[in-house]
Amino acid sequence: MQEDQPAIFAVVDPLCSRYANTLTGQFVSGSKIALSAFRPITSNTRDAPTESAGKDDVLIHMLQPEFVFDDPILRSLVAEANSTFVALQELKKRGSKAEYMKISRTYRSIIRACLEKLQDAIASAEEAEDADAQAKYQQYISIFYSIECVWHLSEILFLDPTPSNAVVPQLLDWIRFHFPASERMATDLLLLGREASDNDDYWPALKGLILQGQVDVARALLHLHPQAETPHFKLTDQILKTMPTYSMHGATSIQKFRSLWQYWLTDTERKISANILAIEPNLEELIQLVTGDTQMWNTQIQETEYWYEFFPGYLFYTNNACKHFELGNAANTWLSRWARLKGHNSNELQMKQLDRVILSLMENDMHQVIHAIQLMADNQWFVTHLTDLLYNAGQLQIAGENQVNECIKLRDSLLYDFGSSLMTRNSLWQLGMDYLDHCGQEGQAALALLLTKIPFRTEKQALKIICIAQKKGFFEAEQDICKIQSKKSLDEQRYGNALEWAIRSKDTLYVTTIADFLLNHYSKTGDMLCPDVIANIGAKMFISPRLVFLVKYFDFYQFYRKRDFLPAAELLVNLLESKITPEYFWPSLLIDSIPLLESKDPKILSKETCAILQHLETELVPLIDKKKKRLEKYPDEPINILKDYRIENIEEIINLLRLACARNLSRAIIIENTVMG
Amino acid sequence: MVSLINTVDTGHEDMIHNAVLDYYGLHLATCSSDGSVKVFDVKNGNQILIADLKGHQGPVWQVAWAHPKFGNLLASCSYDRKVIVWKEGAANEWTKFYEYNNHDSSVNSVAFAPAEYGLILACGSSDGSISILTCNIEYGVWDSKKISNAHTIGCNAISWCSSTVPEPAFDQRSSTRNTAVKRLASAGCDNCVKIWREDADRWVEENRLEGHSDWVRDVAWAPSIGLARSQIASASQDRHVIIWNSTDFTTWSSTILHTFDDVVWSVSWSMTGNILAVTGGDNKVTLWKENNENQWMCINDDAAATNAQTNEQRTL
Repeated sequence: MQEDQPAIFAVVDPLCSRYANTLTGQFVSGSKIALSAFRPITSNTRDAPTESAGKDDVLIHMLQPEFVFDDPILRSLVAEANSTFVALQELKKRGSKAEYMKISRTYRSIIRACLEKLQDAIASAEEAEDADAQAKYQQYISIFYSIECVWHLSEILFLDPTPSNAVVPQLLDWIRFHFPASERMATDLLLLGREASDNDDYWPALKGLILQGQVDVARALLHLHPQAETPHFKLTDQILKTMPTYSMHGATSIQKFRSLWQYWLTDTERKISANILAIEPNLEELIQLVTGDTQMWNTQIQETEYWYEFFPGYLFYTNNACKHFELGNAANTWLSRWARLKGHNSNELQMKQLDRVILSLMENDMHQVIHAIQLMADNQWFVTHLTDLLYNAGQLQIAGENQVNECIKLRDSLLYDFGSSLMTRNSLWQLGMDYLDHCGQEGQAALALLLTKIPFRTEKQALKIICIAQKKGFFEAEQDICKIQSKKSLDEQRYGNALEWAIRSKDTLYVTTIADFLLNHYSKTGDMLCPDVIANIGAKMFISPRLVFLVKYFDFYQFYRKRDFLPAAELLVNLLESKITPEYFWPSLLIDSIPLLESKDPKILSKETCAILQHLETELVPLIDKKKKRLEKYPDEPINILKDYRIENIEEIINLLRLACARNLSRAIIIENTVMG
Repeated sequence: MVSLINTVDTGHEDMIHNAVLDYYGLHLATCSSDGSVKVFDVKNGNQILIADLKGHQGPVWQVAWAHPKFGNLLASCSYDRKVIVWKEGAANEWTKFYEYNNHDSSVNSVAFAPAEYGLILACGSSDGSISILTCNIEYGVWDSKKISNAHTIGCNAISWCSSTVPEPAFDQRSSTRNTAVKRLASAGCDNCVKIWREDADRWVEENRLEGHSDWVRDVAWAPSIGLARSQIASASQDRHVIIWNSTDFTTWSSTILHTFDDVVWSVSWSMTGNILAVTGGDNKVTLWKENNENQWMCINDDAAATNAQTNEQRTL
């Protein structure tokens, strides 16, 4: 765990320190910071190369908060914890105690599984003689071991209060779990049966069990001794057997328990002082521990490494009915005793962070706990999940003695930070979303922003993000992504794609721009780009009049190519009448009518022919005049919008059209009149 | 807690003045006293130079990326009084898209407006004026407006107000954002931070934030993430960073973040606006975070150039 001080990070860049340069740093993207050498520009800066020009390397240092979850083992921890987090949110703060306990245990088993995987990883790193990996995994183990230990204690103290508020039995469970050595020894010895007492571990195991308050196991072990039937052993067993215990469920009143205890204690102490067990020093030692003998415990304390190692055991024999609210005082008394005996001056007692967090937990100082666990090097994984769990279970409000509002703020801001940090990491963004989803309006806004910032390479990825944006109702984010895709496709000259994405973005202007591009391209080259896409636009064309024109013109183009002249002629006439023809497309559209007009058997009736002629005179001719005038005014300006790939000279088009109209008109009138006649 | 992910050797021949990552954080643009702008591909911690843009005849002060929906566009501003917008056509082929020549002195700052407003670029110059350049995307034509005499002696920095205004939930699909009022903040040599608002087709001074006693060197509008308030950080040569807060754009309250040991040159916000990075003449970059009680805390002395030479320099 990190010590509680600002982290200082240094980079080596000679340029930063030469010639009175300094360092500058700016956020560039997400949580990245770019650092580089800096020279302020002031009013008397000369416009000349600096002294360092061309000499030193000009560097940019990219910094990023360390992120442990890039490691595959820890990544799976985040992923598994995420689903538990989601399950917890689904309880909507209305879950039962049992449900919250289950969630808490699930979190802990995820941590445990992760620790086991880390152990394996260390073993394989050892085999591979990879010292770096070994050190890395060792560090992770120490981080997550601390987390497991603190989580377990928090669970006991805040999520699983007993009806009587007594904490000792649970504390014993906790310490047994985290210091399993004696229990392991005992298990091995029990398997040995009658030979157990010959083993070197026999008496240390017994003592260890007693120190952890595991009286029943200790008795079982005692029974294995060959002399178990001797009076001394029988007496010891009797003392242990008759020791009163305070029921977690509060079945006996505390006064009654205390008097029972006092009676038993006086009786046992009397036996010891009568030296009844003096002949068996091992047994006497055990019983002295059980009676809370100061001298005896002091000797044991000196053997310990952690202040809390024997604390629950001691409480078990001296304050069996200790309640949660008394724990803080008891812990502090014990701690000063421990410090004194270990030779620390209590003023300069250098406690490790884990030691302090455990003390704060026992003191019920949630503020301090949350503050301290934020400093763990786990990218806030622990503090976020624990705070959220306590908040959901309604414990944060009580534990922190805080206003409800403050608790919500605290929990929300933790979720916000954790979620944003996951979302700015490429592969974990989907997990990050769940956290932002549960921390109010700010979370939603950050989610909408960060979602569009996820770099996607393939269309499939883009579609996935869009799908999420749709579900969340982030209309703008969805539009943005579509527009970006469209622009990208356009730059890559994938026009069909660009058009499809533009239509999806529902941006009329954008669609119009691309439709214009396609029409322009056609009129210049006679080549219709992306016919498949245009053919399948269907009703979506109504997003932009220009697109409608493009689709309809395309239909005409298809009929014409299939030599289906009658419907082609009809469509062309409709297009001419439609009033959505873009200016630059008039020449092309009118030229298209020439072959139809010149057909030996008329495809266009006289009335329509007149209409074409009228369009020619009222649309194209004035347009050409306008362009000409403009050309006279600005001779340098390139006028290229009135061009068709088929005919260069616009005057020629007009003449041809007029002639074609006249000829068709004569043919059409003859036929029409004949038929009518 | 912080690690160095990579060091980019820019290959510039002189000091760089700005380095910016694009929207997705995949391309890095840098600009230098050597007059060039460079673009690097920085995917996966590698750096590949993909463009070396030469078009300025003087030190280039700042670069800015446009939103990718407008394509890959990069704006740069220089001592040569020019603002250039560069465009990537086909992959890695950069050309000059637009050049703006209407400032009478060095152009110190360029910033693209939030993409929702369209393709708009603001430029602040030592001639004291601010230009707002708007591109008609359909025709690729640029139109310019100028705020003359925005700051006497000069304008040092520009920052846009993000367009994301919190909206009621039922109003998700409306396009109210497009009609939202455009605002920007500028920092100047007149010791002021000014807030400008677009009103019909003019830009008017909406507010003048006075609190610094020396040149204001940088201003940064915090990204407003779902919050109904606006927050601006300003850095000044008077050794102060001031955080300005407002909920209605009419009254602004100020909090002095910290009095630094030396001049403060720049401020920048993290993407989600929860951390502020401050650079000062004391050779340090510090990071600041506002806690739930609205107090600002230095979360770490993030970086300090520490080597023998620095120490000598610093003790002088």
